[in-house]
Amino acid sequence: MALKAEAKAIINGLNLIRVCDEHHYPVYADSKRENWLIISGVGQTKVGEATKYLSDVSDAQRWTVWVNIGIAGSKNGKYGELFIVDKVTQDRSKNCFYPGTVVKTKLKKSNLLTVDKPVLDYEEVNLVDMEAAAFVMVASKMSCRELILVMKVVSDGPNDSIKNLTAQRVSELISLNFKSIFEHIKKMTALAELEKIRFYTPKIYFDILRRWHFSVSQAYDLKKLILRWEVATPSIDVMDMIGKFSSSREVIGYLKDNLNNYEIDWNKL
Amino acid sequence: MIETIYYEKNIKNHPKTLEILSRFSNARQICIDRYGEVFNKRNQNFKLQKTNPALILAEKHKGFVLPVPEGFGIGQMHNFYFSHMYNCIYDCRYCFLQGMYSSANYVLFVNYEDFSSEIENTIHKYKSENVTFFSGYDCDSLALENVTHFMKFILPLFEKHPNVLLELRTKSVQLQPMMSSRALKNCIIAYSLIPEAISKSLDNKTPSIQRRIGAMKTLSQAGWKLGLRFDPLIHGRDWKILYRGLIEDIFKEIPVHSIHSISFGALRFPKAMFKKIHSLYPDEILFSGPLSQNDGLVSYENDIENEMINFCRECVSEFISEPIIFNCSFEPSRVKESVL
Repeated sequence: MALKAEAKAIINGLNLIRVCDEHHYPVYADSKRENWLIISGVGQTKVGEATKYLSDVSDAQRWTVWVNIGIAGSKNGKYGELFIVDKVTQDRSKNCFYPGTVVKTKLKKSNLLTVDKPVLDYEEVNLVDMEAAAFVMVASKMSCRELILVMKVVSDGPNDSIKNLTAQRVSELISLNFKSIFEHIKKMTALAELEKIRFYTPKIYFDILRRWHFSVSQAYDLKKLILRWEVATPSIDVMDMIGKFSSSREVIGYLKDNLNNYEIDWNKL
Repeated sequence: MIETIYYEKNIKNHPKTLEILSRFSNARQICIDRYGEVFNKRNQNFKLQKTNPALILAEKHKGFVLPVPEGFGIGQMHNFYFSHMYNCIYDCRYCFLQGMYSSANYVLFVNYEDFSSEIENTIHKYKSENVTFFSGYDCDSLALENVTHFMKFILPLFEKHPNVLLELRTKSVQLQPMMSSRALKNCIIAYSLIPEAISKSLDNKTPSIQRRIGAMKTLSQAGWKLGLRFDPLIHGRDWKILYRGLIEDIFKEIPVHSIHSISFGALRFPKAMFKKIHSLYPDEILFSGPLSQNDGLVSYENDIENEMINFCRECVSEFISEPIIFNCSFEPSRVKESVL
């Protein structure tokens, strides 16, 4: 998030605490270190750097959901209205970015223009901000676009001057939409679980690595074989079958032989 | 239900675009420059997109009609295929499209008129020779017909050329384009079939095998010619019983005279494609079975493949004569090199 005022409602709503004062940016997290928040400051350079920085300090994974929440100017949107952004155009380059649209929602959707200087002429744009393009660009290098989300609350427009915005009003705008924001994020988190499964490594793999010595290429083969074994014969403890072997070669040979002769019982699935 | 439609700005006013956008007026409509911006870009996730795919309306600029790979066909001299769509509403775990594209969104090329003129040109070029056109390799030919109306558009072209064969490969029971016209003797509706027990595990979101057989029966009664495509052949415990049962079920319902051709295809993936698909679905039991790697292909061992093909051939030979039985040695990577 760009501003402390924007972040306030999220920090309070998720019980986040400042995790380390030494960070270059204010970084917050919950007690389980599941939800993280960083306050980047205004502008694309800062948000790009902060996104990368948060990825490093939070040990983000490939199934991490990345969310940019903030206020935006709008020509059409009503003051306080929440939008999910599905097209971000970077004004300076005219490059377009498309966050995912997989999660079903009744929330309104809009495109957004990311500018380098505040815009007072709202005629040209549905939504306008100063961060989203850089955020999506950097986050896309760390997660797939289906797990990237930009949510904006309309804070100013032709009938609501940006000059009237105060920190308190900004906090209130996010606070008023907190429930909708988090209901949507919950759906994104459920989607991320599907992705997380892809990177699962069975514990037994590490147990086997500890018991026998495997070369790098053998360990690679072993992991593939163990994953297949877990799918094919989940009820059979592989350790019971390989415990008698004295070498990694025997272990791999046994697993290969068994899986290559395994017949899927389609009637029992 | 399509919730998001991306459309290229250069076809914004194309009649087909306008028709589809007006029919899906509640869908979120997003203008893009080229479909490549949202399709097949890196950092997309096929598996996640498959949970709620978007529709992309685009213009195709080249490659309307392409030659099929060598060794593929149903007995004609010249064989071509065309794809008005990329991707499919079904989610079959053995489908090569999962490994072909990074995106599960459907791309529909709206310039149907360019497909028809290119098909006409090809027919003209080979006018005194046997030619077959295939549809249904980058998408199911009929599954999204209620949105695209492509078959309704293209069938009259083939009606004008009764000596040119058209094969529509499908798993769909959406029969409207055929039932609303008279049967074309040069058009084969070719159904992909695997035993029901296997289909229940691997054919996600598709009509059941019983419904496909029912659709074939309806088509047959209306005078349409059918293709039986046992492709891919899937191995497993009691596979002989499963395949014999499937073949018997088909011939109980479908008269032999309706069958134009039968083909068998082995389960085969180029190595890189298999790696990608397996990484998307590591918990898929199909990939935990006895697959091996040979010559850059992941497949069952040759003896399994041959045994399955020979057994199924023998089974269908009990009902039908040999000349209409073909092998399918289709390797998706060879086709796509020329498309992408």
